[in-house]
Amino acid sequence: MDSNNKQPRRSMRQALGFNFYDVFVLVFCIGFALVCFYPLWYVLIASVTPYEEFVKGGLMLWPSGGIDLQYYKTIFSNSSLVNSMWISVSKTVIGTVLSLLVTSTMAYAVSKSYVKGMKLLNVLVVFNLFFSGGLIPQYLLYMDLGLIRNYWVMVLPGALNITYFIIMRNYFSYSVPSELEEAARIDGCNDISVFFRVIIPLSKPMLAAVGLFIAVIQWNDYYQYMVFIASKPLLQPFAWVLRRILTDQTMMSQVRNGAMSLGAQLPPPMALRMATIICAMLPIMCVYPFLQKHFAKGMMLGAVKE
Amino acid sequence: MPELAKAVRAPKAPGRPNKFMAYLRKYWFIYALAIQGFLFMLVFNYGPMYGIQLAFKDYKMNLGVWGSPWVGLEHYRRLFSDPVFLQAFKNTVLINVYNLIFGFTFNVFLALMINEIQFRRLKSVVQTAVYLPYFLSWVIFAGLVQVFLAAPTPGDVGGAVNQMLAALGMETVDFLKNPAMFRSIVVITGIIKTAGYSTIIYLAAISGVNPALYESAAIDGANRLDMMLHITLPRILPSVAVMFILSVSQIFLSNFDQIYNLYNNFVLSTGDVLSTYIYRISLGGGGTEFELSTAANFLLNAMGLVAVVGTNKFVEKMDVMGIF
Amino acid sequence: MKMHSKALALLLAAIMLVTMLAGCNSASSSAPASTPAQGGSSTAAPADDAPKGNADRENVNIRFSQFANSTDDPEGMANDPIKKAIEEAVNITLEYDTGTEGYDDRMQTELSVGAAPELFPTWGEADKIRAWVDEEAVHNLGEIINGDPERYPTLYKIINTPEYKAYNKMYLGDENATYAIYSISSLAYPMFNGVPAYNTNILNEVNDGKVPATVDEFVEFTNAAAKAGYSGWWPYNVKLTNWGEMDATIASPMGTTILAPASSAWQGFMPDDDSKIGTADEHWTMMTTSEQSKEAVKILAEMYKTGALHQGIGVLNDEDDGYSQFANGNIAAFSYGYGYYTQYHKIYKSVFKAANPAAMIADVTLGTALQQDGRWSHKYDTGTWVGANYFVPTSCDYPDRVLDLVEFLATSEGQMLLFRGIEGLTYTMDGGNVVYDMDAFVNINKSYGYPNPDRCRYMWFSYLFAGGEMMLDLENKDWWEAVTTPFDNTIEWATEEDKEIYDYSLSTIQSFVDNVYVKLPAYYGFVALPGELTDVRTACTEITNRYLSAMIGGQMDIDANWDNYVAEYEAAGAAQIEEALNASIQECRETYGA
Repeated sequence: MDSNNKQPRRSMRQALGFNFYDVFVLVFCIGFALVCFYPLWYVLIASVTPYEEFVKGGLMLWPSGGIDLQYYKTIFSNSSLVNSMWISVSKTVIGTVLSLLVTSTMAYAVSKSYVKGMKLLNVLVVFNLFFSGGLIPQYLLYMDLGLIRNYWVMVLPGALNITYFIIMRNYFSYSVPSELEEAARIDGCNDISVFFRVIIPLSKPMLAAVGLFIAVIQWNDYYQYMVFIASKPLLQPFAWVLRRILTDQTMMSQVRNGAMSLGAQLPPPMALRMATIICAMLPIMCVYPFLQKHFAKGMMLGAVKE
Repeated sequence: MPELAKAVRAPKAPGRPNKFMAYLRKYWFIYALAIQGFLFMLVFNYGPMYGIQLAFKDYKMNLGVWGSPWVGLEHYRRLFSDPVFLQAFKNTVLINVYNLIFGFTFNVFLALMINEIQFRRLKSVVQTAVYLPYFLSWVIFAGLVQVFLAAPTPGDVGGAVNQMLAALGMETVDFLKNPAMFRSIVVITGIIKTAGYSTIIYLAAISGVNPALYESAAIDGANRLDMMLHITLPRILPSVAVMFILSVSQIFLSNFDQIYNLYNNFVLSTGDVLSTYIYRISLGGGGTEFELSTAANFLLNAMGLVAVVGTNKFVEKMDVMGIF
Repeated sequence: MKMHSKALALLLAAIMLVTMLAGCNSASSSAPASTPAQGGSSTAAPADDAPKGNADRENVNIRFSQFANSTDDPEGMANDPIKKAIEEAVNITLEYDTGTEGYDDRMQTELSVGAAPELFPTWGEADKIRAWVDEEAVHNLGEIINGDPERYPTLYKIINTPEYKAYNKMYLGDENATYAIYSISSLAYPMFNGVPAYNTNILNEVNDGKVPATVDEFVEFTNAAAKAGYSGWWPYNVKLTNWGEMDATIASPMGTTILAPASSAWQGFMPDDDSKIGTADEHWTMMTTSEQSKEAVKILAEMYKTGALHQGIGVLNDEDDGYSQFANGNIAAFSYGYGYYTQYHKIYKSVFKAANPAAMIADVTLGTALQQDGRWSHKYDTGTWVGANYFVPTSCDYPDRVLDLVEFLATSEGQMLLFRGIEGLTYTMDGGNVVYDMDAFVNINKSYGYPNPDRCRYMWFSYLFAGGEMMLDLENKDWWEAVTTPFDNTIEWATEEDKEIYDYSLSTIQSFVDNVYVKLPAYYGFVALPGELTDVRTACTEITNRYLSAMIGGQMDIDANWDNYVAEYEAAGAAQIEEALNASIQECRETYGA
């Protein structure tokens, strides 16, 4: 096939393909984005709609009946909220940095499967994906370590994240070109400088993405508090306060029998839960664009010629 | 890929007397990087591991985990003697298999499509939008699903979907009470809720693809579909493979929050999963939940392990690193 | 690059350091690990010649746990005058502990590992209690109390009543095994469900304002409402598993019950002859699978089909969707357990009026329990139920001090403190009448998650002795008499508006309560099914839920499938339950009947 023949055919196909293909891509993506966006929009609208309006139901596209911030006031009148925000922010920051550090360094080390012991270590780590000892031994261990009703129980036990360990290990093994490492070695770099000068900068998109995942997990985690702290209001994470606003009344009616709930309060209307959701996701949404910038950027640009 | 690893390994000094120390000295940094994770793993993951024996024991508080008497397979006998358990087990696996087939494919497809958007701004807007539902808890999200799918009742026109059907002159459907539709609803709502979040890892991997590859492909006359199939997809295959295996590892587990908030008695036959089943039977009290849930978890995890080892073998055949 | 690597290395080092420090910190700051104490060791305290008061005893920390409060407001808690008064009176430091989600699991876990609160509740499940005692997880309180009657006069009196011992026997098979502070509860007025509230406008529109009195009239009314474009009836149900309202409204007047044999021992059963209850001829029959139940289910299915029974039940939420549709005027009749008069307050004021600020009491008509062929809906009840029983774990080294607290709260002084508060602050005396200061109470309780002026009592310890959360006279009355005649002070502190609401609902219910409420002899309170039947009961519940949902929801033909339903019941072992129930009733009658 000579190039003269090929040229016009390609451009025709490309021109045609471009239009049709792009229209499909756009319609698909925008359509799905709308499907994903509307529920949140609905939640936002519902959270500022007065109760009298809200009970009328129907599709809400725009706040009708004025904006009513009573649900937000209710949430923020909760005296432990500010403190819990602080707890959540601190444990998210510490937890994410620690977890990223522990997980990524180990993942990198294990990705060097030619180093003795790393293959075994790998199996040992992955095994934990499937088996855990269960609640009682965990509780006993944390008691021995002095972690019960202690802030650090929310940070330390989950520091090594098995799922992201696997993802990062594979990333180091496969997506970071070994040519770069070799080139650096030839330039006289040792393991240390290869790690800090080549691997870390190249892994920024992945570190940003995994960092986001871990941060979201940390931000949303209330289980550690619920089980291992439970009665220290000053250590409550934000997620736990919100969780209670979200589900307490339901739990109450399930667990308390009819007679117990005689004097129970009116469960918060759906709208209160909606406001709660907005509060819960706001901080992560604020961080998201900054991280998104990182993992959307092609870091390998021009770094190696293939 | 393995050849490259060998190339790096090349400068290795064999057969010296103090070769162990020399080896350590040579790779001390790699070991140093692994040691913190190793310690965390040893303490927090392996520390409590002895508790697995509870799956085969009758736990007594005054005797502790070690001292409690063995009961063999008693807990399993209890589980398997219940036909509802078997139905729930089947439902769990089916829902997860559908999730694997449809949800997983959709996520990869979505990531590729988002990557194909030519306008930078729009791309990041779409990416943000699809990521949003992840933050709605299932309590809320299931509530919304009910609002949208509600069947018309006297005095109420029903949810948006049924209003649309009615406007088109079609018969309205009571979606949430239809056992035949429940699994589909679970899978679809699951996709909407988590697709955006799942695509992040793929988009991060895609961003690592060298743009020079596309340029040279363009010169060779490839169109964008070709590039997507032959350049982008292979480059993110390792990530896809890992995510796939990780999903397989969850195949016997179920999302309690999702099912519990969506299901109802009408759809128990297709919608009851293991976690909701265990929740229902343990509400009555009794003191055996620890052992029973430990037993159930052990079984499901062991089966998950088998499924993963199989998948892993298959994936490794494709010359992609699995999870082991 | 250099900077980066340095910073990273520093960070790494810092994190590791912090991690290590954390370990040290926590070790020193956390409470001293409690060593399992030998039960009763503390009872052998040195016997001084002079009787010691609480002030002379060691000041200890007592963690008290109660379900579903909140401890979010440390400041408010620190300034809580009632807490201070209790701490002062008993010479202890109180630490409040609470939870909702996962609460029972946490209590069980903490108990298992020796970290349970010093005083904590369970919901009276016999299996659990037996296991705790067998596994030496909780203290034998009777031993301590009986060892020092002068120190615990009220408790001594309480635990040595025949009724209290009967509960010991029921739970543990030994009437002298006092391991728990029982919460045997009762309400000042009877309670039952099956009384719909009506939207008065719809009642006027389709029924000329006539309140349905029989099942037929009710069905007719809800059908007429459905024809007029409303949903006829919303009976409270959680995912269609709580059949209580449908059962009490439709099935009970027909002389049957559609409930599965679960929760209370005789649920799912009907006495063959009401007049023989209490005699040797009494017998209960399982009615869930009876022909009458089949008829009741048919009526419900028919209602469901026409929209007389709201088609969203079982899928939509009671407390969000149900409320809002009723408040919005889409639902003609709404049931939410109206047997106790305070619940009308909830549906009218918190639901209907909240959405319709101009509403008046007359807009929500409280109906009556229904009859069919002259038979009223029946509620069989002893009038008492077991609430949250309290325990002291063996990991607690000073059970005697914990009992000092319980003793104090059982005295009239303690009860007044909990239910009236502090004189001059939360109430004043006007001659013989108590005048409550609701604001002062709200001010205290809002720290614990109760910011609304809808209860006048301290929110902690409120169901330590009785789940009805009402004041008891344990000091002067016999225990059983005290717990079965609690003092309901609601009307005393209610506002004028609330009083009007309460009066309306109370007088409405009083007009028919005697026809509906069948009080069972007290020995029924001890009727219990053996633990081995738990699995059978769970299986029956599953079967009922599965079949009845499908039948009422129109997915299953009733005539064609009823036999299968009955057959599955038989296969699950339902006959055993009937046998065990009647055996237990007989045994209790013979043991406690006199």
